[in-house]
Amino acid sequence: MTRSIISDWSQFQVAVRTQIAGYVQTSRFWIIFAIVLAIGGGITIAFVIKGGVFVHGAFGATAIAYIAGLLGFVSFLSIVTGAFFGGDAISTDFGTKSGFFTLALPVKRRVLLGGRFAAAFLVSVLLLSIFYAFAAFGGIYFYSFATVPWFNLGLSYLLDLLLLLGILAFAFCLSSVSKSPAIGLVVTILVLLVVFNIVDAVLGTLLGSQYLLWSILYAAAAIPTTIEHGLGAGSPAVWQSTIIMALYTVGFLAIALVLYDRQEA
Amino acid sequence: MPSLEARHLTKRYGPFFALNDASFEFAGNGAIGYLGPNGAGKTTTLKMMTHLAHPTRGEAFINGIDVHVDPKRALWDVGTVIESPEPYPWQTGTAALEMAGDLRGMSRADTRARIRELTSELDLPPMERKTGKLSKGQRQRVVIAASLLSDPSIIILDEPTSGLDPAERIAIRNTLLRLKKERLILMSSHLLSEVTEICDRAVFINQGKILLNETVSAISSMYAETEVDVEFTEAIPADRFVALSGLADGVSLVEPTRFRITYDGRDETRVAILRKCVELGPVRSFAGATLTLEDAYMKLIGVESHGGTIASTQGRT
Repeated sequence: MTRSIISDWSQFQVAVRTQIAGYVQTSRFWIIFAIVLAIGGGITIAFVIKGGVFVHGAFGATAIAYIAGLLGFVSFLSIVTGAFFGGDAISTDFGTKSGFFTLALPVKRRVLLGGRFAAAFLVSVLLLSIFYAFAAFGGIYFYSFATVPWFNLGLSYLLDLLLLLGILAFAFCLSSVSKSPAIGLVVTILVLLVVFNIVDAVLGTLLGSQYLLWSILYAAAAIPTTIEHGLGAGSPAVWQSTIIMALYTVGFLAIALVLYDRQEA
Repeated sequence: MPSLEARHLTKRYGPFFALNDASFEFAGNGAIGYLGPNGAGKTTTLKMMTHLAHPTRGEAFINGIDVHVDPKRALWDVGTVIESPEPYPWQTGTAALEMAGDLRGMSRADTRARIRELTSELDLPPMERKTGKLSKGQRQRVVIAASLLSDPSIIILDEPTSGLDPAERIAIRNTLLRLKKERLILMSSHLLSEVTEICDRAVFINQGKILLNETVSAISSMYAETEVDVEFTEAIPADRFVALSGLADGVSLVEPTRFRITYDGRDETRVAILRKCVELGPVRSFAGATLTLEDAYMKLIGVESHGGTIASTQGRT
């Protein structure tokens, strides 16, 4: 059976398909799906029950406030999604014996990593899009189509895509130095949800927000505030947020690639 | 013509050499057994031959392509089973093989046809079952099937029958015996009987160094020159072998009617021993003892562990 060598692109597509199948066939996809439904659906249902007026504060005073309030959960969801889909993407190869099966195949590791990253991103986008759909639906249903800030909502969505890329790159990087799939996942969640929050709080309080420009969580704060401010002034500004997230994506993905290439099974 | 070559392969972890300047070259069809005790450097060698580990020094070539410069092209025509690999546990056996086939550029039709062939040849487990639910032996057969899926010209196997029951071992052995006629197989094993049965050449390694690289028949004769087996038609009391004193270095009882006699290896001594044996009783057979690979292995490892040196040799299949 003589076979000519197939392209990296074809193998990339195989890696994407395999990884997506893995996500869907394991419980993690359904766990995140349940969380998205619980938060997005839960708030929507609560509003339906209360006749469109939420009992607490100004959360539901306007369509903008409602959508911005809902999107306040996006950072949390993106972190959990990124950690679940990226936290063990590489450590699976070295923490289990799966690597001996996959890495000895004639495929470049960077192609495998690229395929897995793309798969993690696509699945995360699907789940976060459902959450955005809840926000848009609520805006239309409880207020009106015209009151929904569509441009700003789109901008916020694009920022969230960038946030996902940054968080996934960070999770892949942690995964590439972890020998255990579970540890990679837990460490990613702990670092992003706990460590970053603590450091952000301390630095922000003591020194001011300009010292938080290293933090992707600080950058993520632009996602809900963009609903109100759009491209205008916010803290952080959209351009600042974009640069921070892009740097996370490029930097951590590059580190993950180098580490993955050098790791030994 | 398939070929495998290691040039001064070395793997060092701090002061410890997992592999020390290992060189070999094999070309053509046949099976090579890679033998050594635990921690000798067998798996390290195979990992570096398949890009799973990177050498501290030296190079590995498959079909003339440097494994660590262009791993995709080097491994394109290679099937491997290193360290009891496991497909993703959520994959069914079929999905695992289809993924391997897809990455190797096989069409789905070809992959499914090969799965059918391999299912009967290797007695594969139910392939619709998730691999995480299979027993170790069943999983091992699935990964062996994956290594043979694209019908590669080179097969590298690390303890391929580990975890298999006797019937499964026989199936794998028969497959390898068939494949080695048209393929180049490099396999490590603890089962010396398996290597004797399957392999044409054996490489002995210990403490990261290759001790010997020879054909199995040459190794047997190399270590069989100083022993003869003599069989009588009736039991002979051991004390009567005193008659061999001055000729034999030692006599050991193999069976009640069969003895193994160690001597200096000279033809005249051997003839004299035969004459004496005929005097002792009716001789049914008298032949050079065919030492098993295990005997050679024990002697080699023993020599090495006592500080002796045996030159590393290079050879071709």
